[in-house]
Amino acid sequence: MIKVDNVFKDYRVGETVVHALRGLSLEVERGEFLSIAGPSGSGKSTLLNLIGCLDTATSGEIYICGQAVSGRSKKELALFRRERIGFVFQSFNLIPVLSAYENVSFVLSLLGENGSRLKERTLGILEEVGLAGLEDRRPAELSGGQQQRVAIARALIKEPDLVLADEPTANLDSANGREILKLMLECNQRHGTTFIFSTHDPMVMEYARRLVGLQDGKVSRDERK
Amino acid sequence: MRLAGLAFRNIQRNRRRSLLSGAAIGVAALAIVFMFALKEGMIEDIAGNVFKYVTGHLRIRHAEYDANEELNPLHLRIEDSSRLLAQLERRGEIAAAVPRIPFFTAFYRGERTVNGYGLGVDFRREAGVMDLDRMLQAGGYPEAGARQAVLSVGLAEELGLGVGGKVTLLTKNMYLGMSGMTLQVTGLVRLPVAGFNNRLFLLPLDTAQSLLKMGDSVTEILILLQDRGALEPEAAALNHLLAAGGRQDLAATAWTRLGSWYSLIRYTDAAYNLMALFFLVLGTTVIINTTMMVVYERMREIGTVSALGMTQGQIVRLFFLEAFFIGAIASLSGTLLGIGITVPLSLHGLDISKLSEGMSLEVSNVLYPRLNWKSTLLVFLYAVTVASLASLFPSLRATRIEPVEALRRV
Repeated sequence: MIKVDNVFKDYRVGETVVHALRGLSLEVERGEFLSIAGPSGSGKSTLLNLIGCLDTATSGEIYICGQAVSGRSKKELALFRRERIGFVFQSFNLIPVLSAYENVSFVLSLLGENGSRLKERTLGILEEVGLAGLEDRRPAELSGGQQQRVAIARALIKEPDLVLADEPTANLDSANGREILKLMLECNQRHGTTFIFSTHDPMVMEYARRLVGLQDGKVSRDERK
Repeated sequence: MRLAGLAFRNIQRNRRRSLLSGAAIGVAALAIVFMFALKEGMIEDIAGNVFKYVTGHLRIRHAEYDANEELNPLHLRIEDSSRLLAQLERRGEIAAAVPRIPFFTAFYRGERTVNGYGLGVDFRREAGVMDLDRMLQAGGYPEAGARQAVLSVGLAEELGLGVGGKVTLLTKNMYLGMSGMTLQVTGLVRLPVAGFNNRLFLLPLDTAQSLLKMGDSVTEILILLQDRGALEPEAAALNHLLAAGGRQDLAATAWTRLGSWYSLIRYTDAAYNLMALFFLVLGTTVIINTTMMVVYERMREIGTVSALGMTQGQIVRLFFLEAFFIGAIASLSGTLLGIGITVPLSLHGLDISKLSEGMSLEVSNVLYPRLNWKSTLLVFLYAVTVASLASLFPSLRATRIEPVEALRRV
């Protein structure tokens, strides 16, 4: 489903060129629950951003569902993300002026969905992530764990091919972190959605069905459980 | 959630800031609406005074009079004026035609000499042109043929005269000899133009003709038209009429070609437009500043919505709508407040006598701002447009940043 083929990513920081990814290659099958682990600066977030079409590779190619990502315009990439990729961010990144319901339904309205179907799907996914009854609360009125559940619902509501989660438990205590991981695993098993998350949290790695280790911008290990 | 709904929510995030940037636009709209009304009132006032007291819509004079006006050239006159007036008054296009003889003079009061500016007028005809009733402060107007005059209040004060008083004047007549006459003051007038109130006195036309030895001649005929828009065609028609009657020495001239009044009005118009633009630019600067702050504060959110699949165009539209809502609400409030301030003033007038004292402009002591609905609507639309467009620059800049970069911003 995802093929990362000999990808390089360089950043220029002042006079210095930082080689974040150095010829990285990786293949991910549909429905995988994969964790990318590694120390800071190993290239985890860079890889996630490239797969999520939030950034472009210096060289190499990334294929998602058989389609090459490079060479696409900003608008095409935005539309691709809108339809096929869900994101869960470390600090939730919910829109503060919108309620839990609106944060989730916003994604569907971007896809042109409206009316009773939108309402039905939104309430359904909020119930699935355990937020029934909290639909009208704004992010500031929710706990960190609840906010991350809204973020997961937001990522899943459009039934994407892929959900990318950048350190999804980093801002949560261990109990909430575990709950979120269980939830993501359940969604993975129920919907068959591919999950890729970056982490250096051993608990997250414990839940992963496949663990890809990165070191200096290259795959250092690839273990399936 | 539609984009407009999200935009409306966003402007409520920091109400104080939205209020501040809205206030800048609102105050600008208010000031411009009032300024435009004041301008309209002032222009209408100047034009009205110029028409009534100086040029009419059209003025007939001897073709060489204007070039020699400073010398008070009474010999450059309109002869047989009664016949010409009768001819003019038969024309349907003409609402009023008034003969006048302006002349310089000196009054003698004991040891003192005071300069005056006389105007021989036909009071019966002037009733349709000058605001005779409003002008009169005391007494009444002179009888035709009588050695009487009404003095402007400033002149009366300087001469130390009241109603019933007498004063002797000396002036140069049409034959360049000296003529004198003692006039009885029948009334005091206050003209709407401050500059006229220090020197002017009005006397019956036939008295002036007798004093100046002009027979049936006058030096000018002021014409008010039924339709002010037909200025040039009517000037051409009158010149044709004059030429056909063998009066090639006379010329009918539109007020727009006379003196500097028309230029003054155009200058006033341009100056006010420039001031309006200045106010709007100030308001726009505030809204650009606010939008810039908002955009950079919400950079990570821009990254988030971009990751969720919002296109650059949609993000720019979101910020545009936010500025539009602030601009629309503020402009509407400002415009309505501007109307609220202007309407009572347009009914009761704005006393600027202290300001206009000693001014040589034909501005009345009391100005009546006039709301022009077209320009008021234009102010509203312009303010909304400028406020909305002001958001484009910062939001376009923000959306050029890669989503991954935007997401990194705190």
